[in-house]
Amino acid sequence: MTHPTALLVSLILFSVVLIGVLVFRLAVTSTAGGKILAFLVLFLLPLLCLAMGVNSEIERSTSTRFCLSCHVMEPYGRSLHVDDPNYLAAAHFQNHRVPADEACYTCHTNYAMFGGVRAKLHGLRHVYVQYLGTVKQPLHLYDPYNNRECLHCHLGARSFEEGAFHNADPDLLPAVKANKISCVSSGCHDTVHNASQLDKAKFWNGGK
Amino acid sequence: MEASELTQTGLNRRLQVSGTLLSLGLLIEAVCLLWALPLAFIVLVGLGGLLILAGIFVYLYSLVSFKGPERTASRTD
Repeated sequence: MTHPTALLVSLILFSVVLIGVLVFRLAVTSTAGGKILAFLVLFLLPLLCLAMGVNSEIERSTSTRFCLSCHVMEPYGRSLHVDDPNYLAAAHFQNHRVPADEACYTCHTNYAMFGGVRAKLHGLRHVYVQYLGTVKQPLHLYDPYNNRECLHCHLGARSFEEGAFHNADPDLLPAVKANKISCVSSGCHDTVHNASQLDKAKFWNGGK
Repeated sequence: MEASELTQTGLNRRLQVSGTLLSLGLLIEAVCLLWALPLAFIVLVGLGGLLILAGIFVYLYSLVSFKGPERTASRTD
């Protein structure tokens, strides 16, 4: 349990104790100070605890561990440890090109204004399907992967702008930047997770 | 006097109900924070959050609907 979560749980338990004291000694509320205390204990504190709890859970939902806690994600989690630089997800994860503890969220949330909101709504749908529905295999993205998510980091980077392959055709880079040619489905960086073919792969760190 | 006593009793009862709902909701929230699964968020919001909001509503309603003791004006000439 992380430090902030421990503090929040302590605050919640403290609130419960205060509520218990107030409920068993209602005579306290006959005075002005008691009324203020009741307002704090029965309104402000619970509301604060609820808001902080929801915020904490939303933050936790962006963690790699959270995403991989569902059984259906297990092969995708393993694919992050493949010992092959051609595996896009593994190369980004192992070299910390994306934050390792928020790897999934970093790549699978789009950077538009409501990208985070859409990701959270999709997450709710995933929970529903996981527990009440049937997971359809193989898994697919909701929309084709937009180059914008790659360019969020790679645009302006020397290796991207001056790479030999990227400049072999003068029309290539403009087409990539305009999202007319996909980074991940045009024959260039097409090996992303490759979750169905991990039996033949070699793993770094024993695949842990 | 009797009417205000009953009203005070009613208020106390509502405060107890409110406190119980809030305590339950907060305890469910604490359990969900310690439970690292996607379902925890659903339970936190769907069950814990509803109980907490219900407890707050009962408390606020009790404030609004409480009739305080009637004051009898006394005049001395």
